[in-house]
Order: sequence, then C-alpha cells, then structure tokens
Amino acid sequence: MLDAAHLRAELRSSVAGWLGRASGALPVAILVTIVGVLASAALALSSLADERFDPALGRFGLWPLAAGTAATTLVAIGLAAPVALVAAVWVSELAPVAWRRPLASLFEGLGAIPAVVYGVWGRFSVVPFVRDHVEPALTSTPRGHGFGIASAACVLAAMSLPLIASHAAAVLRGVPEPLRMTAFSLGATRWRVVSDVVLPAARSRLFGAVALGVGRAVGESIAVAMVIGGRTATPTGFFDATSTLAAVLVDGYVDATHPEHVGALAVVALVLAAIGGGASAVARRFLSNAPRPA
Amino acid sequence: MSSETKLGRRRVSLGWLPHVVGVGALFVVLAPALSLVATLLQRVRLDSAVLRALGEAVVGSLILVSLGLSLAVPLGIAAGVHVATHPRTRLAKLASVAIDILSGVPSIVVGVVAYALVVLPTGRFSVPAGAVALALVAFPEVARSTTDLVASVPTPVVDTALSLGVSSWRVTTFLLLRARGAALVASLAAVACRSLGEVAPLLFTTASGAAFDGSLGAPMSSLAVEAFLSVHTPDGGARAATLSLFLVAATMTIALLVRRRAPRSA
Repeated sequence: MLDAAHLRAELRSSVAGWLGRASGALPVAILVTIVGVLASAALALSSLADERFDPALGRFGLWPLAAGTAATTLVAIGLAAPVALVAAVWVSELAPVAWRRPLASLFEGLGAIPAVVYGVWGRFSVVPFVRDHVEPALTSTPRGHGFGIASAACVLAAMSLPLIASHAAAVLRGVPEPLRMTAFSLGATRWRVVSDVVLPAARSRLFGAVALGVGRAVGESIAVAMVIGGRTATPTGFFDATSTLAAVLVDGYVDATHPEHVGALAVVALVLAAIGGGASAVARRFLSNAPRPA
Repeated sequence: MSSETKLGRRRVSLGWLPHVVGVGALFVVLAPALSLVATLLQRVRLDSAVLRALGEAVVGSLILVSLGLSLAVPLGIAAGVHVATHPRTRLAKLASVAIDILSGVPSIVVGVVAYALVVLPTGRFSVPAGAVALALVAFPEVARSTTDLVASVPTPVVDTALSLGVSSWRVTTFLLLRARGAALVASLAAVACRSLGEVAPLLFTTASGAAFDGSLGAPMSSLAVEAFLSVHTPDGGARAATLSLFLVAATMTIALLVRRRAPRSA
C-alpha cells in the first residue's frame, strides 16, 4: 500500500543511499583529482633522463634527487628501525608492568611532535654537531657547513624512532594474551616467550610498522629541506649538501615558472605520491592481516 | 632444581642482557627528544616581538585548522561510515584502498596540488586555499579512524537494531557514531593536533604574512609555517625556537590527553 508515510520513508532511504554512494566515491575522486592535476602538469616535460637537476640550465634529471631520497631514507631507517623495534619489545614485553603504558604513551606523544620542530632542532643542534664533531672525525677534507645527507639522515632517524616504536608497541600489545599464557604454562622463560611466540606472531605487522616509517621518511619534506643544504647536484659523499624528491618541492615549486620546470616538479610529486601511497597501502595490509586482540 | 645445573644457570646469568639492550634502545629513542627540548629551551626568548608573533601565529593556526577540519570532518566521517558499513561492495573496497593511499601521500604533494587547484586560478595566496589543503591532508585520517571505530561496534548489536526495524540511517547516527562518540572525538583531536603542525600544505597556499585582519583573501601567519620561515632569517632563531616549543607543548599535551580514548588507527 502506497501511503504518504511509506513514500516519505522510501524517498528518505533513497536519498540516504545516494549520499552514501557519493561519500564512498569521494576518496576515489580526490585521489583521481590529485593524480590528474599532477599528470597534466607533467605532460610539459620532455626528458627526465638527465644526470643533473638544474632549473637554471634547463636540465631536469631526477636521479640526483632520487639518490638523495634513497640515501637519507636508507640510512635513517637502517639506524632507527632496529633500535625502535628493540625498544618496543622491551617496553611492551620485558619492562616492569607499571612502566609499560606510560612509556608507550610517551612514544606516541613524541611521535606527535611536528616535523617542522625536528627541522628547527636539526638546524640548531644536529647541523653544528655534524659540522664540528662528526665530519672532522670521519673525513680528511671537511666541507665545513654541516648541511647534507648526514644531518638529514639523523633528523629523519630521530623522527622515525618514536613513530616506529609506538606502532610496533601497539602491534605487540595486539598479540593475543592466551598465546603468551600457553607458552608460559609450558615452562617457557619470558625471553623464550618473546622470541619464539610473540615475535613470530607479530612479524608481518611489525614489518607494517617499519613500512609506515619508510613511507614517512621518503615523503618528509620540511624537516629535510631545513638541514640538507638545498643543492641539486648528485651527491658523491655522505656529507654532501644535496636535496631529495620531497625537499626540492619546498624550495622550488612557487618559483617554478618555466613549464618544463613545473613539469619536472609535478613528476617528482607524482613519484612521491606513488611511493608514499604505496607504502601506506602495504603497511595497512600488513598491519591488519594478523591476529587481533580478541 | 639441582638437575637443571649448567643450562639453567647459564640462562639465569644471561637474564640481564635483554634488559640492558632494551633500556639502551629506549634511551636512544628518547635521547633525540630530550636534546630537542633542551635545544629549544636554550633559545627561547619571550620578549614582546616574539610574543606578538606567537599570538598572531596561534590565531592564524586556529582559524586554518578549524576551517580545514570543518571541511574534512563531515566528509571524512561520511566516507569512513560508507566503507565500514558496506564492506563487500566494489565501491567501498575501492574507497578503502583510496583512503589508504591518500593517507600515505606526502603533505608536500597535497600542498602542490592545492596550489595548482586554488592559488593559481585565483591568483593569490589565501586562507581558504590553506584550509582546502589542510582538509585534503586530514580527510583520509578522519575517514580511516571512523572506519576503524564503526567496524569495532559488534556485529550482533547492529544486526539486532536492524532486525527490530531501525532504519540504517538511524543505526549509523545513533548506534555506530554515538556508541563510539568519545573515541571519535579523541581521534578528531589527534587529527587536529597533526594539522596544527603541518607546514607543507600551507607553504604554497596560505603562505605567511601579517596577522589575521578579518579578510580571508590574503596570506596569513600560522604557527608551523612561521617557525619554518623564521629559521631562515638572520635574527629569527628565538622566534623559531619559541614557536616550536609552543608546538611541542600543544601537540604532546593533546596527544597524551586523547590517548586513553583513541583507538589505534593502525
């Protein structure tokens, strides 16, 4: 029977259905817009296979920038990930029980410190330290300014430590308690429970935590731009001032007027979006596919 | 336990090793933050010029974050609810992947896109451009935490409500969102906290400049951008340190306050 109330309910549910579908389509639309805007700007570009990135000369090779990104990210994550994982294991499995929650909160609090603050710290303290102590100790011909890959990697590592540690601690907290109980009841020591039960159960999700750190390090623009020196020559040494894919956007985007320059930066942005988005999607997949707390 | 002799004793004697390694690693994780706070405290200066800059930047940041979130929150919640309540449709799966990808897109890329979309056509830096950029950064985070929250409401509760004839709209607003209301507010606060510290989306959109003077169509000073730009000026060290210290205090306070309520978005 089609009375007014029924009709109204019908109308309401169909409006709600359309709104629902529109809201489901929105993330896809935003993603397509981002890619579309960048891709249309990137079309102006003729070649990227240059070994230099020098807008003044009209050369837009991405290799120096990719090298800078790869070097800073690898060093930073190589330093930060093992330490952060060990700290997370200690905090969530071995530390005195009363310390665990406060320490995990502290990791999260530190992870919330904005990148720009790490950049300011890097500028005021890491760069002078690298210039005065690290570089003279490790090289015979110091460059004397402290800006470069080494400083950027230190700042990125400092940022990644609490980030990876807090995600890893959360992952370990998510390992179901009955697994630990069973192992303990079989006579395993605390250490054997961690190494033979908890870590294997959490392995893929811990990998996800590290992948999040990698994604963040690759995409970090502001903090890196503040300490890496902003030169766009191919780096030849660990203390060379250079730039990264993300940092070059900070320095150059608004000044870019030549269509090829804009195009090159748009390609850089596309590459960054692909790496960051890919790392995030992979991390999400790894973080969600293992035992969850019951 | 005398039969355990050699093996047992060795195990006990090495028992301290994981603790030493663990505490060492913990120290390495915390050391940069300690150095960071010490460095900033050393350089903070609270004279009238710095305080005025701080005040202007705080007002600007509040305006930008509230505008950005007023765009991102309703849209993000709607998208998140759709993904969580239609787990099997193709659209929802696509949206879920898109949200995951978007939340990994570096914020500098979002800044570049907002510059191309809003600043280039209008021909000037403006507050709305910055708000759009911030909203684009916050949207996937809001959507993702909404999805996680809604998905954490037990299925039987939802099924019971639906079987009693409650409309799906009511189920969404009254059951799903309100049941997790406190946690939702907490994760929105966390998103606001992250927006407060963003430089990259604002650098090319709202840029920097004078205090907010009532017009939205002009560049405006904001906390993180001002801290970033001050470092590059010869006498801006104290300003940069003060703004940074304020950011650290604000973000860590919010993060620690909301932590109890917020679920892990991971």
